[in-house]
Amino acid sequence: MLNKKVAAIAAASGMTIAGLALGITPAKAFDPVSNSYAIVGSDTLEDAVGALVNGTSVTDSSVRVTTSDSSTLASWDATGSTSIITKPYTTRFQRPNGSGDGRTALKAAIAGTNYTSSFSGRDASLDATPVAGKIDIVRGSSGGTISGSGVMQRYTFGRDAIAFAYGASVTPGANGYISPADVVKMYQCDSATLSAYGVTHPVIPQAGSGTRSDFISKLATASGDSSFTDAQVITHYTTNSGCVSIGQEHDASTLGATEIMPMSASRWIAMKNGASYNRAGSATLGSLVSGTAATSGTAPVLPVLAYYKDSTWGRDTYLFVDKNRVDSTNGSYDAVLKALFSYTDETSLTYQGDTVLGSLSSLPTFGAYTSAAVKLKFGFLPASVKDTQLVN
Amino acid sequence: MKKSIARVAVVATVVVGLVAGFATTASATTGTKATQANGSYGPVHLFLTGSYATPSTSFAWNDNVIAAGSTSDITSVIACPVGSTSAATFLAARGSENTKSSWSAYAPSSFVGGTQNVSQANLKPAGLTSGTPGASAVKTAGGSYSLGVACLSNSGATVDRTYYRYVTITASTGAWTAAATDYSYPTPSITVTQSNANAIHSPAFAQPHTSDVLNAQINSVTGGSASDIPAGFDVAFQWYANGSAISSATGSTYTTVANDAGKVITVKATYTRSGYTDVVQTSAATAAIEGDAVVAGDVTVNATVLDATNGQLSLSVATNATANLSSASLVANFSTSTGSLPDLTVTDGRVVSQDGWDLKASATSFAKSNDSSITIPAAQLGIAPAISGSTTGVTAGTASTAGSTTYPYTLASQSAGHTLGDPTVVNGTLTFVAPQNKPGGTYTSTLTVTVYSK
Repeated sequence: MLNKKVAAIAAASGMTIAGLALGITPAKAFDPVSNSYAIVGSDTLEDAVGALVNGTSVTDSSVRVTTSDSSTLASWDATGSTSIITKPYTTRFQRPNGSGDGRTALKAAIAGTNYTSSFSGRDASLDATPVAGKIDIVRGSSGGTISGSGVMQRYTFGRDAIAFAYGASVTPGANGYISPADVVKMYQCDSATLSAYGVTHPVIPQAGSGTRSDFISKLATASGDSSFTDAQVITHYTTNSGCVSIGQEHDASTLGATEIMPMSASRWIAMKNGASYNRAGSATLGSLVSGTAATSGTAPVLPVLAYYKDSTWGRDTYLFVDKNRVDSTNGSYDAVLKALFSYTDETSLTYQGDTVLGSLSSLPTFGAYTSAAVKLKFGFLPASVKDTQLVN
Repeated sequence: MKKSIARVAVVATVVVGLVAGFATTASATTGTKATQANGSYGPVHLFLTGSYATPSTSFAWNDNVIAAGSTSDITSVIACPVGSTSAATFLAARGSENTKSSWSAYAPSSFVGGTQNVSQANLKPAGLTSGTPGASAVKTAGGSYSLGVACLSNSGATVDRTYYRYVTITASTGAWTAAATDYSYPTPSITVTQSNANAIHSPAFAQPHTSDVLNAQINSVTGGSASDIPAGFDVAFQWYANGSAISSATGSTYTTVANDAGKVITVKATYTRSGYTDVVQTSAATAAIEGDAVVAGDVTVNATVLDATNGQLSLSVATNATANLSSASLVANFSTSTGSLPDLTVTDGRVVSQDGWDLKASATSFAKSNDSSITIPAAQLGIAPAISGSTTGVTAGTASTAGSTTYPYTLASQSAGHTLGDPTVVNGTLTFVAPQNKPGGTYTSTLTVTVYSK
């Protein structure tokens, strides 16, 4: 995340700070490439997926998702250098930053078309770059649009929940609760509501963020205010300068004392448990569900089942893949790729145990050697379904 | 009004037990040869989907087969030496286990944080991502290999120790089986059971007591039959009372003695064979052993003077004064024991005012030491005070009957208008009658003795 910010500053400043530009040149040097499949997309899932494919001992066992033909995988964070190379003998393309951006890239890879990131800080010199053969799997904190003619198949990865982080001077109610209606008003720069909660700057993540799109659409639903859209928020960002601001998803390290921002409960748990690097700063996690906090405990911090089960604020997270490559009747079928999405192989990318969310009455436990145990350490519970929808 | 207070701790050890049933079992890990015949440093046991997989199990190439140090516990670790800095899972031609450069396939593994222990290592052959010719080539070729966990140091270049099983891989499919560990046998269980229940006890009292015979049972046989004891192993027993080894109690049976009263008994079975790891099992504990008498034991009265005022009127009790409630006998089927109230010394130097005084006692209920929810009312302590020393104007309190003592209880009084040149000593006898329905154990009460100026 910080690398990205440095890069953005350099790009904006151009030649006037050539020293800094030179300073980031090594970050643009060649990074390792994948031995098999390349994973890009959501910030929300990047640490959990990264740990699974790089190998992790966070459960005290050694857990690593590898392919059935003994290759390792590689997963690229949503942020970092502005461009990446994912496979041997391929060329650089813009780093997909977020779920939507990742799906855009995968669709371009499937269609053989060119890809341009929606991220404002992208390296424009790489706009419209071919990505065929460079991307295999996309991490998604949002589910995409279900469509019978969709080109991607999605699999659930685990259950996350959306909450918000707030600065030290913000004054929510019990459990850190602020009603969705009031959160909407704050993002609409309603001065009375902002004042009532001690907020000066509601913050939204960068464009292309799955958490951003989920946060806004769910707030619109929960508040009953159908006018509340991404476009409206951006209007407030651009025309009501000083109210809404844009920050990097899940990075609360620079969140001001009077600011709020959407925050994935899973990312928060991973940060607080030391499973992920800590970008919580001095912020606190709030709640959008009356009567319950999103997380509990301090060491370790655990998901609160009631919050994750909430039909609005709990959310399934996904992995997306070219549907043809996981369809055994298709000429493009790749059994090795398909095996990564098994719901029964205890060390697949998608393993979440035998029980779906709705059947849980308490937090589940998993063998330390399983993917599900790793996911739990990263704040993910089993998803509500073992999904195999087609999406666009 | 001046007063002086002393607290008297009354500790009653009542060795009666009413808890029924105590036979439970404990299990141990399978006994295995310390160093395996195949050269493995120790045993490697395999688990599939969380359950122990016997040596006949056929595994698929992509099965998550988890390595553990025990057949009964998947979390039982495989221990690397202190100097090891990393671990790996490996597949090697037999005989090449300790030569990393010869491994056919391997993958990095990790230790439990802060240790050199490998926990739940995944031996899935398909997960071995490094090595030459590599896992896929082994799958294609099939054959006889060793599969296990290696302890590494020197940045992974030096193999310190290896734990492995001989495996046989089917060419092409990659299906595989593992040879048995050197010695494996059904895990015996160790249990303590009881013989010759004492007829004095009604069914509600069915639990071990002194003079009972306790049996160490391996599986269901006292002392174990040949088939219960692992082949080639010897078994030795040691009995324990409250965790302390009982001298000379090393047989397969043990007869409880009076000194065991109030204590829990366990038995440890140790299976030994030269060159093999010992298997040690300890039974679950019995309930506390009850004494033969329904009520017996000691009452210890300890008293400490907490507050003696300006010397004009004071109360003292000899430091560490004790009284024993003993000689229990059944009176109308109630346990009755007696003892002495220690000397309580009242000194009244108020030669001018000559107010007189009252010496009164209050008491808390007797609470069972290991279960404070079980109490015996303080009324069950009968008190018969006596006075000696300077007794002018002093009268002893009226003796109370155990079961009807009320508090505050007046031990002695001095009427006004008398001057005593010497201290008055108050003592007497204590009678403790335990209700029939109370379990055995040690009961404690505190007597608070206060002298009041009239």
